[in-house]
Amino acid sequence: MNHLSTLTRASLAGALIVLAGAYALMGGWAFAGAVIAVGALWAFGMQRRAIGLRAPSAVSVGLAGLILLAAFGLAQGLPAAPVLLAGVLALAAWDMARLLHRLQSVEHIENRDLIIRQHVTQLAGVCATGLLIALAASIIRLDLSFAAVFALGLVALWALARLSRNRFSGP
Amino acid sequence: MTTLLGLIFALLLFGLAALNGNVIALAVPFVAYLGWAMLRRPERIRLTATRSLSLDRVSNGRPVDVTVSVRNEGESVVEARIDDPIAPGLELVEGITSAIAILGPGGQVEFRYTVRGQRGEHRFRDILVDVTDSAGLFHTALTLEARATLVVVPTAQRLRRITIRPPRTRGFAGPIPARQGGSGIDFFGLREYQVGDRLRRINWRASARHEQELFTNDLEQERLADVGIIVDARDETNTRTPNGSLFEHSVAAAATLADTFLSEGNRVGMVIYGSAIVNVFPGYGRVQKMRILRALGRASTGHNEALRHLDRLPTRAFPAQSQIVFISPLSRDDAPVLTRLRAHGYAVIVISPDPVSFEALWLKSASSGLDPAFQHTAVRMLQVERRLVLRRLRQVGIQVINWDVTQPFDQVIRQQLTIEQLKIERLNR
Repeated sequence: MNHLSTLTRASLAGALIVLAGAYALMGGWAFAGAVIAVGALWAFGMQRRAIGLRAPSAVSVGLAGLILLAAFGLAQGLPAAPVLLAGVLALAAWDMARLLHRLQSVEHIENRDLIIRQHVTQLAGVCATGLLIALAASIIRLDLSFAAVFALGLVALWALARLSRNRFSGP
Repeated sequence: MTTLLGLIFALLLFGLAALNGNVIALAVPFVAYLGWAMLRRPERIRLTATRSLSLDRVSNGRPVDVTVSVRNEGESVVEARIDDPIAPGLELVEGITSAIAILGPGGQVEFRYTVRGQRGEHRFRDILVDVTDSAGLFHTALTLEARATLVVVPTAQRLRRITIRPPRTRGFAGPIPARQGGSGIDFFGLREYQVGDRLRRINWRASARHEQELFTNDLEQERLADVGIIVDARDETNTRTPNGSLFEHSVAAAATLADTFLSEGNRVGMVIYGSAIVNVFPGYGRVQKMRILRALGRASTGHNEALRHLDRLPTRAFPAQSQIVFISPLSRDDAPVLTRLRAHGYAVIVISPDPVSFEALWLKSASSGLDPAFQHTAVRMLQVERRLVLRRLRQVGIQVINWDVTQPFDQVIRQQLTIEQLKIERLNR
């Protein structure tokens, strides 16, 4: 459990350093400060029972804040690679914080080390794959017609809506 | 999940609005993560649960071990959070009641805990299982049937022998004086000598007064008796305060008396008269003791308009002229029914936990907001009323034990029963 906690903090610290660094390098000190502030809120929320804020909601608010700052940075012209890396690290930190919370909420965990190892390994794979695809998407440029983009957009929205519906209906 | 979907939508919309592909690319890892969670989601979940108790019947306050086992009968790997809510009225002594486990096909998780409970019937309900994917995004709540019942029976105290004298006894030798001459220990009377009488039983002093006749000492036979215990479980009579219920004292007394009478070899039956009539037919020995304790463990007070008065008391459950022990705080309407029982030839002992002192004790300790002088007067009036009811019962030959429940039951029964018996004997003379 301690390893998972360390890994979560390291992942969060990495996301903060990379994103704040990217902003700082471009002279956006105020935004770098905002990133650190959101990160601090997240870290504070992870401490259990802190100011009555439930840990999972504090972590989710932290993730949303960081990703919106990252998106804003990309729109402002920050280099894509570090921002995407920061986004992926934030996602990993969010996932591990939730796993940590889930594990801490029960009295007994069967095969605890196996659960953690399996989860972290799979998460690393998913994050690496996601990062590679995202980097490729930011580098590779395709000229598509408006109709094709519109159709792809509709497919994406349909898929997401279906996923969202599935979530409430269960397997 | 909501956070993730919201972020993906927001990034897509923001990217489209800003005409920035990099912002849309930022959504890609999140979509990949979501896809991974979906792929890892268990499709066909088949879990079974079993629960075992170290004992299904225990005495008050004794711990019981509960073992819960959940097994994956399906073919996919399942990550499950298992919660076993403890039955109300039970207290967790040690162990765990929830667990997280990854269960492969045929995998099993088992956890144990120890509980302790107050008298009553405690039902363990279903086990709650929350199955999630690896990321904890998709949840499926399951309820696995693993029911069990634990009956906590009252503890029977050890009492010294209770002297009872029912008008009719059974044919087997026992500890109850049978009001019949024969072989025994206590002197019963004199009779003329009959051939076969032992010389040592001839009363020489009485024989000396007569020239031609010899007299033999007759001893009182001692036999087993039929004892019927009636426990009053009516809501109307059983006072309840935040400190507890008077009914618990009645139950403890019933358990103690049943144990004592049965251990002396008597045949004991029981009726619990409350929201329904629970009848334990007369029987002997340990098995009967268990039957009675089990019934007492399940007993609770209740209201039934039809059973509001004692008119429907099933006295036919007890043999004629046997001993009846009625345990009740008593209401003023009960006296005629008990008098009728006495008139039908039953020997009746009433053990009455005192509701007035019980409630007064709580009123004294709690800040009820009542004027103390008013409270004092009210208590006195109720005590006078109660004394009148008890006196009416004593006048018809019923032995009444007024039990202030702050006093130990064995002490009260030893002292008061002796006094009551002397009073009854005086009355009979």
